[in-house]
Amino acid sequence: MVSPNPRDVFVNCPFDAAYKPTFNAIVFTVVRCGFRVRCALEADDAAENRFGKICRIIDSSRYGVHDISRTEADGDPPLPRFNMPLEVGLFLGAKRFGGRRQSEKKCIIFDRERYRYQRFMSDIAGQDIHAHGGDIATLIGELTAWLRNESGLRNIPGGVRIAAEFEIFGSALPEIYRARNLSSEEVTFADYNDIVVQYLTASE
Amino acid sequence: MRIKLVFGTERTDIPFMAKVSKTAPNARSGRYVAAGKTPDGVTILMPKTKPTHFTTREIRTTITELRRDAATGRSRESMKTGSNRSESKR
Repeated sequence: MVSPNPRDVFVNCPFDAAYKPTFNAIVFTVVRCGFRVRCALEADDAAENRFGKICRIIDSSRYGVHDISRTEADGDPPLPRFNMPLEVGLFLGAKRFGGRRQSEKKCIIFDRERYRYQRFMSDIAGQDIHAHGGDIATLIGELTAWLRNESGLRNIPGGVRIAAEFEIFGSALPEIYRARNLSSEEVTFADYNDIVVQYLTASE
Repeated sequence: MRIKLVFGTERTDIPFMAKVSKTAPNARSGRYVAAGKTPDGVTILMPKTKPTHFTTREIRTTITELRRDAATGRSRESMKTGSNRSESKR
C-alpha cells in the first residue's frame, strides 16, 4: 500500500442516468473545494478488472464520499445492488488494516434518510452518516462542510455559496456542450471533470 | 425558449472566476498540478485523467470565448462562429 494522496477524494456512488445530476454536483463540489475526484469511471483500461481498479483508487485516496441511497431492492426477483456498500467496506477495511498511513483515511456516507442504513448494514453504525433526502443543495452543503472540517482548509466557501455556483454552472453547461458539438449523453466523466476545472479557472 | 447566458460581467454576485495559474507560485505541489486559484484562495487541481472528446486547451479556449462573447453581448450564433473561427486557426 502507498500513502494516500492528501487531496484525492474517492467517489462511490451510482453511475446511471438518474443519478447523474447528483454525481455532477459531487464532482463540482469536490473540485470547487480544492480536491481531486477519483472514481471507477476515470480509466477505461480493459486489462485491469473493475475490482482491481477500485482497490487501486481507494488505496491512493485519503478521502471517501459514499452514497448508499440507492441500495434498494430492484428487478425480478427483487434484489438490492450492493456495489456501493461493498466499496464502503473496502474503504473502511483499507483504513482499518492498511497500516499507519491508510489509517488517516476519512469518509462521509450519504443516504436518503439518516437511519435507513440500519436496515441493511447496521454494522457501520458510528460512521459519519448524513442524510441528503435526495436534495442536491443539501448534499452540497453537507459535503462542503465535511471537506472543510476534515481537511482544515478554512478558505473553502460555504455550501450555500457552492450550491448557487453549481446552479449557475449547470445553466452554462448546455452552451459549453453546444460549442464543442457534444451531447450530454456522450460526455464522459473525464470530459465533465475537465470542464468543471476549466470553468472554475479560465479567465475571460 | 432563449437560454440566458451566465458567463460575463453580470456574475459579480458570485465572483469565483480565477486567474490563470501559469505564474502561480504553487502551480506544482507534489503530485498535483494546479489549474488555477479562485479569488477566495482555493487552489483548483487538474484532474487525474485527460478528457475524452477534447483537449484541456480546447475546452479552456471554448469557455474563455463563451465568456468573452457573453460579456460583449454577442448572440449565440456569433459566439458559435467565433468558436469555429478559433478552431480553424489551430
